[in-house]
Amino acid sequence: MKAEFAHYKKEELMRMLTIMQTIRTFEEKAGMMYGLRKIGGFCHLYTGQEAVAAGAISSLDLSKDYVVTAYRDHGHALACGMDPKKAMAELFGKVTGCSHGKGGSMHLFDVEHHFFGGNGIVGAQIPVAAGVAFAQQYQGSDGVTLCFFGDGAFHQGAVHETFNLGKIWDLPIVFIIENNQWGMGTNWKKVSAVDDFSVTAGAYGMKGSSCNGLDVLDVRATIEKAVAEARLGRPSLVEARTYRYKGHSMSDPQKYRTREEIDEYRKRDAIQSFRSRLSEEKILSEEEWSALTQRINTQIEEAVAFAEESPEPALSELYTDIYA
Amino acid sequence: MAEVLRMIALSPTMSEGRIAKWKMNEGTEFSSGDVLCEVETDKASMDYEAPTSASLLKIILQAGGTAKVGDPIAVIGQKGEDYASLLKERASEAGVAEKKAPGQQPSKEVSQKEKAVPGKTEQEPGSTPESAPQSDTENAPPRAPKASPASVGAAPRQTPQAPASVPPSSPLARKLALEKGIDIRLVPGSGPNGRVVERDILEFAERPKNTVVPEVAPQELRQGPTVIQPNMKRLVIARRLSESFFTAPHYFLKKKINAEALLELRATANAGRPAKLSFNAFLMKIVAEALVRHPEINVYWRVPAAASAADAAASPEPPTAMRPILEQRHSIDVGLAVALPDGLITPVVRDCNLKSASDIDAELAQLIEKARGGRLAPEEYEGAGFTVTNLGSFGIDEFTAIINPPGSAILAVGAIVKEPIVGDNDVIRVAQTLTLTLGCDHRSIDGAVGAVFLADLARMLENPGMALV
Amino acid sequence: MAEMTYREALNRALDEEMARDDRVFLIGEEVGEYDGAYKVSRGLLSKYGPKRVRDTPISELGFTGLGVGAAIAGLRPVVEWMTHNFALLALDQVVNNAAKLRQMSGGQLSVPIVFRGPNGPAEFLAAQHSQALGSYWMHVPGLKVVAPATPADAYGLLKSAIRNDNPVVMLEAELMYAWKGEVSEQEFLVPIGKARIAREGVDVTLITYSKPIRVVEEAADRLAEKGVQAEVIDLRSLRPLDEETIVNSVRKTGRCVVVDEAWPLASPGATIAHLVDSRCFDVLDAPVELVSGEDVPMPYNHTLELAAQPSVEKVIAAVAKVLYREDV
Repeated sequence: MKAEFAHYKKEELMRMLTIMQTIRTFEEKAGMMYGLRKIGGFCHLYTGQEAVAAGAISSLDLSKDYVVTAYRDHGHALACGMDPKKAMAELFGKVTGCSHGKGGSMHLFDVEHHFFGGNGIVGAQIPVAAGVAFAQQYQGSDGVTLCFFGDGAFHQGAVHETFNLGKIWDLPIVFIIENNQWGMGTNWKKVSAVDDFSVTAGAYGMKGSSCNGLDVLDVRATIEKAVAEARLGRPSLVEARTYRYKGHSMSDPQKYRTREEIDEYRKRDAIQSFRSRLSEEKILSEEEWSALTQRINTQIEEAVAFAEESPEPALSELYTDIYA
Repeated sequence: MAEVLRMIALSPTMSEGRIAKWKMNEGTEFSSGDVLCEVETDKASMDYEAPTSASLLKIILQAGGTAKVGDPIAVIGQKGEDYASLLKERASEAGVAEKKAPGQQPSKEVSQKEKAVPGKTEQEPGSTPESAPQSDTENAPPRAPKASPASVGAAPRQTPQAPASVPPSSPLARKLALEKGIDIRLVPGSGPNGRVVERDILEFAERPKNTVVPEVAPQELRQGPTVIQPNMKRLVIARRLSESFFTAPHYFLKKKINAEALLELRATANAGRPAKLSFNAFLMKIVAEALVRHPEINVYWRVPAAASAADAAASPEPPTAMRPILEQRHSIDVGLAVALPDGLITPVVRDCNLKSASDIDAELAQLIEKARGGRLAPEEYEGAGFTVTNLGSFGIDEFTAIINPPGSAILAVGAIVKEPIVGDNDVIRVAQTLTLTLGCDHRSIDGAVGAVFLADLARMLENPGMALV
Repeated sequence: MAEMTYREALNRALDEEMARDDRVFLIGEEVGEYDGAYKVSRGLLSKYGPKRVRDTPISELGFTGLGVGAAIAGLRPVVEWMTHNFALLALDQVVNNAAKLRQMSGGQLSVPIVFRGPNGPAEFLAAQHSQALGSYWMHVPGLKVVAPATPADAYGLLKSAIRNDNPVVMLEAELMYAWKGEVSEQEFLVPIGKARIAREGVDVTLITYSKPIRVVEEAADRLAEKGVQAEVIDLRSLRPLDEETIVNSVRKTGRCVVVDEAWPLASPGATIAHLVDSRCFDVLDAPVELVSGEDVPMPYNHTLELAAQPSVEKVIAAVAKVLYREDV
């Protein structure tokens, strides 16, 4: 057995696989539901990137740690433990959704599971995440905040202001760039001064590191280290190089990239490669895989049925939950 | 029970549908779920299934026609049922919905007006008729806001309420005026553009009150005048006659006539009549004949409502719409001023020239009777082109009168008195005479024109036979 | 009663609330070692230490957003903007996060945070530093906006704002910090959303908020000499608006002049004028007059700068207009 596998118990490996497969199944179903007009508006699918959320978030202790992300948030919400029913119902705009149908795809929140959204403005979640880390430090909770953002958000001023604040105040935060290589239709290399985002951490006196975002164990190991450092008041930046299979959102015709490029990445699919390796290591049998996918399929089917059957919010909900 | 079948939404986004084809003819019985017709929606062609079991009594919307969701397309019910009333309802529904239906227009306007100002007419009695520019009444019987389509249609002379005649006013001023029962149009406005504002209403209301309040010392009370709040009719008389007197430059022509021939004619005509024809009836008949010969008297100088402002600005070329116009009347409608206990009223005998003295007399009697009961309709007291006023019965020798718009002249008739006159061969003898005073609006009738008319009229009154010539 | 400045009243409120609740902290540029750009936070660093009085880099977007994150994670930040002009850099964090996180999370989150600092024209500061931006915040559902005009209200409203579980934006003014007024030595709160009738009258209602209160009060004095009794309403809160106090007053007077140093379009004053129009239409004797800042960027030159703002003369002229009187 290879070292990285030996490091984790089987149930931990299975947990990561389960999270990834749950996200994949959920997103594929969400795509179908979007096509059926059950879901409207902007809907950004996470397919292809599952290893990042699964590897990173599985390294946390969510009794004290927090997760903050942007609008491609289904995967992070599920990885934090959000009930797929609540997530799907939210996509359907139903009152049983996590935000009672008022947030939609881009604004999933699950305070119970320490998932703080779900932010639709590129880069706007980054100072907020630092504030959550600030509170953790202030309260002496020993918690860490994972702040996810994309290669597109990296160029927002908010990122650089927050890197600076994080460092000068020793905030317990890990900044994770999910570099899926396309900021909407713009390739990251075209708009970035550096070809490795992690090097910018040095400019703020932080440690920068990279990992293979298609390898859940590499993500896990890298983030684990970064989280441990953050807990000691040393924020850092991690770049996870990954790829999204679907368009920026469901309305994206994807003229900017080739079918070949997508196929190339699909061959290196994070879930399939992890699954093969688990099989090779005799950790996962065909039966177990089959049972796992069966269980997840059923769970997501149930989530869709739940969303379908749930009521719309009453008109009286229009004015609720605006002020505390 | 027959019922109207309406277009329904056959797709979530459908707002209207076109009947592609009726699947059955009128009279066909159908069961619930049968396809009645095919409807083309925004997306596709859909079957319209029968909501119940019945017969197709009447197709309202034929194939090819388009209906909005909710619009009637057919009548369904039991065979032989009478559905005429349903169709009638539908027609009125359509009439209301389609603004173009010309016959429906007035009723629609009225109903809108009623909606817009609930209670307005109630609280400002008589406001509607006086504000009409053609109105020439000195009376304002309270009108209920019932203005049905019929009554509007029957009064073509009456133009709809002209907002221009209502002065600009603040909402507060309007509210106060209503509360205090003040006709806001009588209140001079002191705000910008003559806007009537709160203080104007308060001053208007306070003016008389100051002198009538019972709290004042008894000494002062004895010395001060008793204040009577004028009724609406009195206010209208005051306003209209002031308007006439202060805008129309009056001049007066006087002529004494020998009334003996006229009296003789009347006596002859009344011989054997149980009810005597009035002297006024003969006067009006001959006045009408004189007007036939002198159309230049049967005119009106009309000043558009806003023109006075333009005049004030001394603009040499006011816009055409603002210019006064001279109206030449083509009918001879003669009014007679009648004194009633609550004020003056002027019933109008229309087409006076086409009526005999006895017709005129009968009509006058009827009008005056109505006026006493306060039942005179606006069309019965508005629009006189010429007015006769007679104070002879009060023993007045002669007097001047104020022109009653929309006329340009008024004939004031004095008492018949015995006077020495110089008769044939310079023989002085006693004769029955009366003095006529013709008041004219100099804007429309020059002095010489008025003089020719009065001379002619006098000649006809002295020799009634001339009316035949 | 003690007389104190507006600045001291704010300082006292901050001090009391920080002593009362450990979750309250102050964050902003120069709030600590410098004692505040306008000395509002004088002495707080030495009393509460750098953990709770946090000097920031010049990063309005960053520290404002950080405040929002701290609020949703259980703290009660007071974010000081050196001025509201600089808060424009943080507009996204206030409008898109502070105001919306509760609604977007279906009520799971609350954002108990105060954003405060001087707003409105000052003197000789030219266009970028002299502008009244209240409508930027007043426009946004999810925010509360307060604008105290006296030391007592500054004290009572800041305390209420800190204790409120919603994001509250507070409009102060550089020129008000030195204003003096009576403030009870007893602790008290001023409720958010309740206007103050600064002066009673029957002839005309003058509505304002924040710094123009003094202009309006002087105008009311001058009007009184001419026999005009003006009622002066100090709104104190722009969101929620105390509609009842406004409406009750105008129903009494029938005339209304709104005085607002913001620009005239889409401004708090315009909103209030519309409110009065729609709710008091039947009792109005004249159209509502708005005395606003002139519709120009603030010039540096002092004469021009004064001409760009509401003045006693402008207020009196507007009152004359609604009274239809030329003699006031």
